[in-house]
Amino acid sequence: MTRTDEDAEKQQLWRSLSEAGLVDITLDDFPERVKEAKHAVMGRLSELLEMSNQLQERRSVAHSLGTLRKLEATLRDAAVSQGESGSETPGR
Amino acid sequence: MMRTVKQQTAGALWPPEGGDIVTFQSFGGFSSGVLKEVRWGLVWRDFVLDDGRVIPEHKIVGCPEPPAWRSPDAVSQEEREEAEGRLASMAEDGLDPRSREQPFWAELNQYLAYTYLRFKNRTAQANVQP
Repeated sequence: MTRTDEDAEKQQLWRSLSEAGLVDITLDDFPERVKEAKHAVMGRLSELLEMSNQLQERRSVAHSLGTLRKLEATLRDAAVSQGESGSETPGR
Repeated sequence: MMRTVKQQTAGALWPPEGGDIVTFQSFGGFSSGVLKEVRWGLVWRDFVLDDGRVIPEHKIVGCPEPPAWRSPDAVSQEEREEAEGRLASMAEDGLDPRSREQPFWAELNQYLAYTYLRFKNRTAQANVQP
């Protein structure tokens, strides 16, 4: 791959991440981004469940799904506790 | 002597070194800090400051365009599981992932970008296969 190809690939990646709103996630967008990631992981997991020879990837994808569910719950709890206290999160 | 980001970019030295002062886009404006270390995350490099803040490389003033990145295929299973373990542990410790420029926030950003790229690539590959 030439330097120009690498630069073009990098540009494409950043454009792609930026369009997906993932280069700089705003605080309000976190729950939605986690939800989207979860859907993508679940889509892949359902594909893998139809195959019998992808056990390691299935395990790995299921683990990622578990992590996203935990993060989703954490974000929900943080939003609830912030709503109850009515205070701003430091550093925001 | 501490170098500033202007001196670094003028000399084409990137990334800056530990002890250098870096300026970055922060919430509501620009901020500065002393760089402790630069480390790779799952997708991009993070600049860890000596006060504990973690700033993605693309937010640092003087960062080359486009910034350095890693393909999701370059992330090993072990590395992914370590990142997932750190996220789970920070969640269990009750840290707020929405505290900007803190380690949990930085890890979560990288993990979501990585997950997007990981499965977007899969979908693209599946679509070109007959």
